[in-house]
Amino acid sequence: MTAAAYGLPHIRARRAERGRLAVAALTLAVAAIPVASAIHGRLAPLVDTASLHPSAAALWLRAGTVVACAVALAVHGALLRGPQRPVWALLPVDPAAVVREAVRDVRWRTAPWTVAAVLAMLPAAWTQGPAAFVAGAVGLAGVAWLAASSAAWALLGAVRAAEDPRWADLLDLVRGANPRPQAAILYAFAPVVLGVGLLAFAVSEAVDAAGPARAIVFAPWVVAAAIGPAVRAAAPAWWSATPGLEEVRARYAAVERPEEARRVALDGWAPRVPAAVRPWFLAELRHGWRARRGLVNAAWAVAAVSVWSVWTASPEGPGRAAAVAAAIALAPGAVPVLGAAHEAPWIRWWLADGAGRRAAARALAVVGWSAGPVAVAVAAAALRHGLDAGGTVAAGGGAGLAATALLTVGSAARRSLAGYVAWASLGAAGAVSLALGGPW
Amino acid sequence: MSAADALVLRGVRRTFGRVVAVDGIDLTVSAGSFVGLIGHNGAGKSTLMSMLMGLLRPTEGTIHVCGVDVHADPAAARRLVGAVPEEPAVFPHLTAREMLELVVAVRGGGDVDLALALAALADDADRPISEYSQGMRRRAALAAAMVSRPALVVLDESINGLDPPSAARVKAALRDHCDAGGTVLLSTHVVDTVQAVADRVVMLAHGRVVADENARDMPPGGLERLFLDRIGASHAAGGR
Repeated sequence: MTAAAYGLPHIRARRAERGRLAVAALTLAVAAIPVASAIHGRLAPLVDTASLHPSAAALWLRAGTVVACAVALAVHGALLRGPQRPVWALLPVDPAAVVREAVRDVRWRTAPWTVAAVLAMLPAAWTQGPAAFVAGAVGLAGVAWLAASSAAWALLGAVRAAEDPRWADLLDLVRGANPRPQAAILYAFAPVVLGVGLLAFAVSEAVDAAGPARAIVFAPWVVAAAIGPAVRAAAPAWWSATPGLEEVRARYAAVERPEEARRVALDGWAPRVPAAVRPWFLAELRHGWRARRGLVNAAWAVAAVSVWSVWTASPEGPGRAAAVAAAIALAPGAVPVLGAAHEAPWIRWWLADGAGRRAAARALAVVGWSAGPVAVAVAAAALRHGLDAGGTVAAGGGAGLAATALLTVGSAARRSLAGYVAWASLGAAGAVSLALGGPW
Repeated sequence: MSAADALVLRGVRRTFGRVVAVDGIDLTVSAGSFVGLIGHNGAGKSTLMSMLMGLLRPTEGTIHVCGVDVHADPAAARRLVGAVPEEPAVFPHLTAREMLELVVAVRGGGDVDLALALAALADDADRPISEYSQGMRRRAALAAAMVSRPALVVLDESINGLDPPSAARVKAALRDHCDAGGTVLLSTHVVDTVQAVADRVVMLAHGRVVADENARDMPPGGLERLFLDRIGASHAAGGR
């Protein structure tokens, strides 16, 4: 068969999703206009190019790192856990062709992210002149391109390592409670982030360089071409991912310790909660954790971004981290709202007299899920910039947490997810505005 | 293992933590036979079928299809096996015709129009599978498994849920496949289906083979009585 046929399912899927993505992009663009207008005054210092540091290297580095991480995660989804795997896994496919088309598809799908990142850099980077801006854009696109190849190579290598007895001892040492394939796949991101991050650093420095040194912005493209054969050589490991992932699924599904399988985050808080609220609190915790733990865990990812933004010598770091910390509670806050939106009518009727206690339980659950991530952001700020900075981030995180808890309670009572999303977006923008220009 | 053996399992065991899903199964299936695998819910049928399809590795033991180790040489084994898991695997954004053409291209041969006709999808062949009902998706997956006439067809609960005319058509196609020298292994908990089409019936309970009988020699209703006798008692006793 022609190798191109392996791309057909990707092409058809993209075509089917094109309309939906276009509507979403248009809606976001329309919604962004009044939001941007409302907070323009507060954000003005950020986009005032005259106040920016003459070098945009740090910004290019951050943009490149963010895009590279997003691309690596997309490769993980497409290559290992994507919807095409169950079909291909039953057929005598050429794994190199399957891998190549999965990586190509990720590059197509994530190209708009790269374009968006380059456009976002425009106000800051254009001050250094068109040549520097083009060099930065070329480098950033190369970093994204390389992230796709290197993530594919690292993930396939991880799948192979998970079943190689020579790696067993090392994986057992670091895997904790995870099965070996899961641990190997998780750790595979480390060399990708490190390697691509170093190249992104070199590229960002090269943007500022004069003369031939600026050619370093092409380095990611060269490295990506160089590791192409390594990706092809690793492709046979694609077969092993299906039974490997099945091991992971089975490991989590197997009820080795029933009490472990039933346990949810923060169950231990329940005895300290007033008895009248406790049943509702447990219901929120258990339904939320079991059905939507991804949203709960997303708070930790936002906390990581907050740590990342405060870990700088710039005095603006704590302000930026406070803004990010204000958004930590948004994803966990959506959990009770989603739960309420999908609740059966008879439960609403049955539990109608518990509205006040339910509201308290929902607020407590949001605070419980979000307090840890906020504390991490605060600790990082205090460690890097001192206690005052920790206070700044605590104020941002605390304000965001309180506002989100109120919003969650209100939206869950009305079962209005759309309202939650809209108000949460405005609230996040307001928090950013306050953090950048507020008095503290 | 002889050249006439389509499927050979030796000491196949699969555990999930402390749960033993499949407990040391030995089984040999001759080419050209239609074997029905039946058992109660949780007997280990789907785990065994997943291992036969290469989607799950046995904790112990080996599985060979026409002499090829399913897990040591996955690509070669896939050339020999057409499979439909319990949850049919299809490309939703392709039409049934496009999907079958893709399968034919990957497998290196097959008759797309014949497979579409057998699955009663000829009139809907050019619609995206995402627009199909659940039964139609199942038929599309069956057509994809059968289109290249593989040596062994493995079906996990794949006839359940089909409307009676579609089920009859699929059973006839599977029977024809066996008459032409192919082999079929059908897992189900519907004993009537097995007695209607299978040459041989293998019963699982708690991961073990508790009966291996010639289905052709059974009187009407005999398989159900055997099921209740062997599996009912074993199931009620909790197996081990």
